[in-house]
Amino acid sequence: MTSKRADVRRIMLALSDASSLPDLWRAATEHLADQEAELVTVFFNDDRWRRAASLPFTREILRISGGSTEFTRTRAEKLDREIIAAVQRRSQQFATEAKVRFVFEILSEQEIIKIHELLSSESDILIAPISFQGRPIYNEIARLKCQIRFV
Amino acid sequence: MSGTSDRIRALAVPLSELHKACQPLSIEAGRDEEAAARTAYFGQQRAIDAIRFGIQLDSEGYNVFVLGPLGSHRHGLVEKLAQERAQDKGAPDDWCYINNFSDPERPRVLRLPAGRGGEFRDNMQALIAEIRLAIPAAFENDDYSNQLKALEEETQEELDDLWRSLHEQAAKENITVLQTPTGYVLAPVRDDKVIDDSEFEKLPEEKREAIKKSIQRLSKELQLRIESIPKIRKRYRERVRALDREVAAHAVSVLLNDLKKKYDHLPGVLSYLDEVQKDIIENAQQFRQTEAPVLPFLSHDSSAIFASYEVNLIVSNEPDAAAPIIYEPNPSYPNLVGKVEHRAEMGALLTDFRLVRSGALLQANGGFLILDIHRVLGRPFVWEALKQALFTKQVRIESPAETLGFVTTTMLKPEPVPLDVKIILIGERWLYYLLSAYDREFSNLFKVAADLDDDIERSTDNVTAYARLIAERVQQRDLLPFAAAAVERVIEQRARHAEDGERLSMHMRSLDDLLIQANYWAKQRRSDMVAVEDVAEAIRQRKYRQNRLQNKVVDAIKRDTLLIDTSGECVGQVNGLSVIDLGEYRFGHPARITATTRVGKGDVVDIEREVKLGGAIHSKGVMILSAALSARYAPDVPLSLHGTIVFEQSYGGVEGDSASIGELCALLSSLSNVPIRQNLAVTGSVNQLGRMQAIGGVNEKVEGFYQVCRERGLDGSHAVIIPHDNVKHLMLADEVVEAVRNEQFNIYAARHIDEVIEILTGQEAGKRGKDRQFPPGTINRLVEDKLIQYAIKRQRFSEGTSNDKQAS
Repeated sequence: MTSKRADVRRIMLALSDASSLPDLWRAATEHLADQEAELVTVFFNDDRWRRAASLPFTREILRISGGSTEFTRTRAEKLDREIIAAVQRRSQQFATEAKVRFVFEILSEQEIIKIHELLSSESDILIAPISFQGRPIYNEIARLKCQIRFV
Repeated sequence: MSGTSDRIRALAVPLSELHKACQPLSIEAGRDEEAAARTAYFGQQRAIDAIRFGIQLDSEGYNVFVLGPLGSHRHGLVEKLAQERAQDKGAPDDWCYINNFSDPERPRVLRLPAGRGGEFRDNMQALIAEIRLAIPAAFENDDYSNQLKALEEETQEELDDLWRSLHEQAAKENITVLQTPTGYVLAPVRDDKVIDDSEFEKLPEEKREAIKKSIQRLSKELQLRIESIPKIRKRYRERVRALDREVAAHAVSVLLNDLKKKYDHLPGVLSYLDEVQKDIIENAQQFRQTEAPVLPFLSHDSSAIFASYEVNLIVSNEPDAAAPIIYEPNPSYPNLVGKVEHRAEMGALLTDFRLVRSGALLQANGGFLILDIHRVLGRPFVWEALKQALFTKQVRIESPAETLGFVTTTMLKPEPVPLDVKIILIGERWLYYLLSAYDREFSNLFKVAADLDDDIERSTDNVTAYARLIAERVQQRDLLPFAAAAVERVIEQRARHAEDGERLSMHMRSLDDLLIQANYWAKQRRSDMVAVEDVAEAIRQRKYRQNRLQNKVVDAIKRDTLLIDTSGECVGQVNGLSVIDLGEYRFGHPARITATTRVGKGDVVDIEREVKLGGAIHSKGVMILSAALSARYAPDVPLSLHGTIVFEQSYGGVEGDSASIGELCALLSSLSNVPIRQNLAVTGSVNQLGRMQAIGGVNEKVEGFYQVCRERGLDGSHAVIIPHDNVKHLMLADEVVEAVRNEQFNIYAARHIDEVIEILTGQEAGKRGKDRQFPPGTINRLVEDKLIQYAIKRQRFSEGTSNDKQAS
């Protein structure tokens, strides 16, 4: 027996990397199954890499070997571009499979007004990975009226 | 003249010698149980003794080669004698191939007492079935799940601690750990925000240095943690494996202990069971594998995991059985040695110890293997493989390509199986002699030759025994009983088959054919017994079915296409006799031989040889003629003759020397100018002293001339002259014997050329008197005079030529 859901105006997927995409999309499609809601996927651009890369002594310690390599601005920007492209491509695949339409947005954590517009109502839902709680923007969102689901 | 006639009459072969009738027999084949007692293989005692000797002597190289023609019932004899010994030897051990757990490409062989191989295979199958249930059940047990979960949690906690402590330490120093797709970045933070370069530059010098040092130190800490993660995971896996082993060991030892008790007297089996136990414990994780494969089409039957514990029984014997006697009718390499089969899987050919198959050598191991040598030699690599197996006393199951080193792919190499087998090769004599001459290893491996006789002496005892043999074969084949007269007729035919009135053929297939066919004709006339006329009908019908070519030849003679005179006289022309052999049937027919003579250098030209239609033996016979002329006539003058001899209208090869007497007579007729009677034919070879010698196919030759004469009308003048030494071989057809009895046809037996020429010309040959001269008017005198004339003419001619040269 399933409980009847309250009307949802908008579902927003908060993305910062591609690792939790399948779970996020699964949760989103479950909500969309009996709702006429708008689906927005927002990639929160993490400027921490670029900021860290601006420091001359920052190095990346490789997970596979423990070795280290220089972490430059170029490297940080490249990582950003690659992640956005990967997230957008995979989101499109999930949307095609689920036969839903979606809007893809890229926001920085400073674009608070835009976030307020997207999650202003109680009938808005934010679906985010659990690691999202560590992002500074989360503190802003937590103050909004929207519903929040972690996967 | 009357003396000559008397001498010729004396040379006529007595009627009783033309067809040696069988002694009266009291046996009725098929009715007399006692008579049908075991009589098989009488007359083959030497061969039987040799086979028994070879079969009983268990020593290296004492394998047996049975020599004898096709149809001599060699296989039956060998199997019968092998059975006698097989009972004493008893059943040999069973052989299995089992997995080699340390090197699966080299399957091991396991030996068990007769009958235990199949039992062990079944026991292992049952064990596998139990293990398939027991081991997964052990892993599904709550105790196991709890222990596994505890290990997982312990490990995860250890990993979490690593990161937690790092994060805590970094946070204390206002450093954050950022994750990238490939690693980690340590960055200074202030108010939860990563400091960028402009903010960093604004910090006091000592603060900046402190941040750098913190990041440097934390980086090392991070590196150490990264390096320790694989070790933690490895430790986890080892602990899980140890747990799995512990669980599996407990489950499997319970199951295996019973089996070990059952085979505690077989160390090989116990050792194998220990290996099975060790392998199951080592690979315990596989038995609880429940995850789906990465690629769905790679999923495989779970039974494959347990397949390595199966037993491939390649040789199985009943415990109370006799030693095996295997006859392999198709001794191809795989059928003899064995093979390793493959199965196709995902486009690849795979194999393992379960697909090793034994060949006849292993099936016969501990017993006897009977092979036809012509089949062994006719199949690639088989002879070498057989010899190798006998030399090494083991069977190595591998493909010929592997043996020859043509394959570089990794192949299965099953452990060789020790071999103790007695090989009995069966073949014709020429193959035995060929191998003896050209294969040096042959005599070391096949030290016993058992030579089956083609025929036996036609003694009174042997005839009686032969009648019993007929009775036995009639019973074995469930034929109608044979009347005594029919048995007698069969025995007479066996003498004819042996081409000797004093011997009996031991060719069993042709005997069986005659009995079966006589039985058929008896049934055709709705008789409940085979009578003499049925045997005669069988012989007649067989001839009728096969004599198409013979009738063509007779017809050609009758219509004067082939020129053969059967009346009148002619100088230098004689009727010879030849035989055409069609394999299962042969027949004789007359052939015209002509000779011409003139002055020459003492040579007799064989036209057949000149055009390469004459064989070596025929040419030898013709050359003897020159020697015979030289030895008999005008010894004091050079032989100054040029003679030519030809087989008229012969378009195929001529072989044998049985026409040499006819050729000599044609020469003598030509030299003496005395005509030869054309109503006679002659066959026989002659030596250079004029002595006649026996030839083959005498019966067919006589019958061949008789048939031509009969077609043209017998008048009592027709006859055949044969060597006296061939009289014992006469077993002529009833029709010919009847014709002689009615004085319509005659057969003369001669010992010397003088007797032959007297019969052919009706004139006295002549013997040298005290004056060393042949009597005037005799054939020999005429010949000698002509040869002296030739010598004088030749001398004059030579002198004339010489004078001409001097004058010129």
